[in-house]
Amino acid sequence: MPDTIDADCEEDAGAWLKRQAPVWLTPVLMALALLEAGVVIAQAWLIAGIVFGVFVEAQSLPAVMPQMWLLLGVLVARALFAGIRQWLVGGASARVRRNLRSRLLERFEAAGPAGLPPAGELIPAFDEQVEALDGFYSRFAPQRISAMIVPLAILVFAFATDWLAGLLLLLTAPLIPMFMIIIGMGAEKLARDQFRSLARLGGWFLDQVHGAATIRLFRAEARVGAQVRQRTHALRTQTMRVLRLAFLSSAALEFFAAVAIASLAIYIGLGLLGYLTFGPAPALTLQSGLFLLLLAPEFFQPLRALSQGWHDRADANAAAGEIRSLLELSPARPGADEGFNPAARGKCRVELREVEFAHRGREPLFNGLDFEVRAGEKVVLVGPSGGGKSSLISMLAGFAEPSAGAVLLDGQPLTRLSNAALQAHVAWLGQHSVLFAGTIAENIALGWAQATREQVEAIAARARVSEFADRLPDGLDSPVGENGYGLSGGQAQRIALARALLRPRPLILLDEPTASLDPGSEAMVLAALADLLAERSATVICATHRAATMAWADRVVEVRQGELSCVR
Amino acid sequence: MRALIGLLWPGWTTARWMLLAALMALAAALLAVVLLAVSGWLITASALAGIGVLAALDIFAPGAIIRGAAVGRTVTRYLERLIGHEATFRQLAEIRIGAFTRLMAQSIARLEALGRGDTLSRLTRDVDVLDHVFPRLVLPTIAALGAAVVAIGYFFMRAPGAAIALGASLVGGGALVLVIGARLARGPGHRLAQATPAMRSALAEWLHGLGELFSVGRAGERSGRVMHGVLEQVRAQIAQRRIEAMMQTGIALFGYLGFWLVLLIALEMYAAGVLTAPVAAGMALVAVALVDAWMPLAASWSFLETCRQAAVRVEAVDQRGRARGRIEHVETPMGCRLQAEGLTFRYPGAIDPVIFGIDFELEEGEHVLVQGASGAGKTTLGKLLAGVLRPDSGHVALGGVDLSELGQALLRERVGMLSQRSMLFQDTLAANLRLGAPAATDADLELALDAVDLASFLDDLPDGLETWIGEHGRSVSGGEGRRIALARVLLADFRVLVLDEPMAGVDSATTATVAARLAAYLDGRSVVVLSHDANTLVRFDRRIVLTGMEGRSGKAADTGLPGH
Repeated sequence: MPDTIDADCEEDAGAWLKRQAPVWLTPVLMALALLEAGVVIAQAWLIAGIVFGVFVEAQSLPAVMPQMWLLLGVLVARALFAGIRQWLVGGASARVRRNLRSRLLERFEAAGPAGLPPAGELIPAFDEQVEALDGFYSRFAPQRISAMIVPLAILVFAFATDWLAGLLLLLTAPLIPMFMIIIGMGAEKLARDQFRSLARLGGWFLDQVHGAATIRLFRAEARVGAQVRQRTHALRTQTMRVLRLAFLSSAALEFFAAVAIASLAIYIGLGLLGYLTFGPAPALTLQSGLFLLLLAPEFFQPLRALSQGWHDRADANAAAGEIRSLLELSPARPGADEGFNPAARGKCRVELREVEFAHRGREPLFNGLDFEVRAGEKVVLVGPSGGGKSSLISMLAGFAEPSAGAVLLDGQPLTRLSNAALQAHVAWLGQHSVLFAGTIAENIALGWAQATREQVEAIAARARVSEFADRLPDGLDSPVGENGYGLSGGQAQRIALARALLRPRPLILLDEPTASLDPGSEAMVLAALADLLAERSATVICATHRAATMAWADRVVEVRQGELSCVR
Repeated sequence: MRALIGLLWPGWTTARWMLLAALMALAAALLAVVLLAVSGWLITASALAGIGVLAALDIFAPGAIIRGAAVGRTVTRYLERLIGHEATFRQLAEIRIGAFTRLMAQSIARLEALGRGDTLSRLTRDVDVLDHVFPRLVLPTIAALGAAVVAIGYFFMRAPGAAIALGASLVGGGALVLVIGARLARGPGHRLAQATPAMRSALAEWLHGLGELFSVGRAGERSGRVMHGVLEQVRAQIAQRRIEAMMQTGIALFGYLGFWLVLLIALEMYAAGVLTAPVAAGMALVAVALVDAWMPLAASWSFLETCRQAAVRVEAVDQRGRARGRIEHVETPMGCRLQAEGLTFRYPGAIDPVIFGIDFELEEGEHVLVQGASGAGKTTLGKLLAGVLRPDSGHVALGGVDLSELGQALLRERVGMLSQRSMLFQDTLAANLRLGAPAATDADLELALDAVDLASFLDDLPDGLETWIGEHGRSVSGGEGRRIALARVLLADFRVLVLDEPMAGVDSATTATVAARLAAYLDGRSVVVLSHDANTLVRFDRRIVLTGMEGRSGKAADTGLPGH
């Protein structure tokens, strides 16, 4: 989070947050706030009337019983309105978060594997940041509306009853927003700094917890434990210094509210005693006096609640910024035409014409690149990391689009291909393959929904999956992934290879398929790959650091700083 | 609930701060009651005096009480917040230290396993939740309950009927609502505790596999599993909120009913001539003020379930996988000769043992290179030798003492291991290097960095050894990080070193340079290097090739080949 948040940005975030809420929320909350104001005033009016009737007019208890029953009704209504509001905002807030998560997920999917920030940023944004919006919808939004409506309604009745008392409230009321602004400027910053220090300490603690095994190996547990204590205490001392001041402003707010109530009580008391002869004071009765006194705390209550909910807003604003930037991720294939479905053949010609490509916010990697791979040719790309091998593969796989120029498969623009046609044409295998929770066979079959069991078994044998699967109790039907058998990286990569090559496709793209494996496993995967490619006529493009191990290559091309040159 | 109380039971210093904060909270709540009640009393008395029903009234004493209560409430609220934060911070330190100590009691193998999943992040999130129990749950409950007890006690002397009505409705009814609500919130709380991590891990899996899913056109379909977690979570959250709303309504209903009954009884007693009018009015207003103090409890108590779940999870870390108690210092090992016999080890969930009947010997000062294909058990052998894992059968002895009889402190003092997951902390470079050698001088650190060919890396750092590394500082590449970790283990002065792929991610030219410089550091120590790359060590006395189970030979072989 930046140190200073631009006021415009913050404003914007507030508007954006409001837009995410269901349209009915604000009107319904306003209606509920009006009802709330109504019952608050009715309650005060009835209590004052009953007390006045009994004490001053000497009415008997049965005579005021109808009013008592009415009061009970009003009190029940008040409890119900508050409950209904809670019920509604709780549901609305959960649904806003659900919708945002659903939209984020769609966005992630559209942006594709090459267009996404690392998972380490996406997962907290998807979970914690979206969750941080809750306070805005379930606390701040209703509090804000109540704070606008309830005090205003009370003020109207206060003025109508006794303009001097109304004036007293009116004069105290601006002090509260004023102090809220001071809190907004000074104390909120302090509170945010404090919150950030706390978060930093939390981050540091998380780091120690994650490194627990390392700490144990270095027998440093006592020292780190002492640091946990020392850092927490240091933060406490520092924070308490800040809080002593920060809490003063909210204390001032409470003070004004309390003093206003006290002055009002004394004013009413003196007025009733007949000591005050100016203004409306002589006209005060026990009824109007008690009515005003009962309204006074209700007048300040929503304002105090709002000032306490201020940090919910600050948290939500910060989170909104991050979520919005993720919702604006650009799609990987904006030009796809779902009606464009050329049939796939056994192998295909690949052409790149005057291709330009740049990663977001970086120097262009390719500038007018021309490259052609004949149908059925097997090409290996080598070169330093960052040279453009992966970007080239990404463009061919449809993970990213060139900013200019064209990528053609058999003369057809790849960017226009429908998603289904793209998947029918291109097979892709990356460096870190994933085993999903399920059986080995299910993991392989993920590559092609239409595949028969025989096809899955055949590819498992070729990719040398059966070699280890046969030794598991249920063979290919043994569970892997989470809660399943732990497989080595090389075994997982062979399953992924089978998955990628299950469906016969004319273009096979391999992006460093063995880079994360040790030599033993690498040899096994490479042997499986060589077997599989030998029997396929498909076009193959493979990025690797170890071209020497790929004897099947027809051509080795070096990719260096966006330039391609033939090596072999 | 026992877990929650056990984890949060404060130490004496913290408890004193807590008591003081609770006292302030109670005082603030009572002063709010006094402010409203005396105001009501004053107004009624004034009104009656004004029309001559009551004799002359001293307005100055109640006026002073009202002003005093107004100022007093502000001051006590301020102190409540300040002292409450002090207490919370003190407890935060206790909770963190407690959680950290529990974690440190786990075996290293289990800590590594925990680090692979989401458990540790969740542990810190749970600890964060526990931090809020005192200010959000305990403090408001004490204030509300205390104020109610004091007020009811006062009522009992003046109007027992009102005391009973208020006690039964506000306190009895309110407590019933809170207890039932907290009980009802258990189901959704439990579902939420399952759904959120499920959603996170489904998302992590989906993101990790997105390239493959995208290329086979299954990304959208598979994202349904994430969405399933999201929907589960939303359902649980909505259920939770509804219970909270019902609790809020229930508290308000019982509170208002209590107030209504007090008003009715007060009026009745006035009519019977037992109470004066001002006192009757004051009593009604006491009830109004008490309801205000009880209202926030609904939110506090529906938070209880979240805290309980967090406490149960923190506790669970403790209960599984504690490092098995070792008998400390039965014998002091004579020297540092490492001997292993008939080592067999099978990972839970695997069918074949990864290590089967291996014998191994490491003389003092000997350097041994262990090679082998992946899955052949190099890492496992290293962990068994370093005492991180315990063999299923066979045993490892250091200086003639079986590791299972050797104290952890002594073992960790003599045997160091550079694991593949050795972590760099987000801290200064110096602090990272001093993890195992707190007394090392800057010159020592520079020397060690030079040994791993990071001298020029150090020169480029803006603040030298004090440069912050990691996420919020200078980012470190995989190879650099690995070499910093290597320098760290060299500095720690272990007599036996087990280095697992020390040059992972380091290019071959640098590997050669480092290998040459390491010789001086390793001289005189016993060293086992586990690596697929023979160039990791310039000089080794023996080389062992593990063939492992996957390689079909069924058993590991000690080839005993001499080194260069």
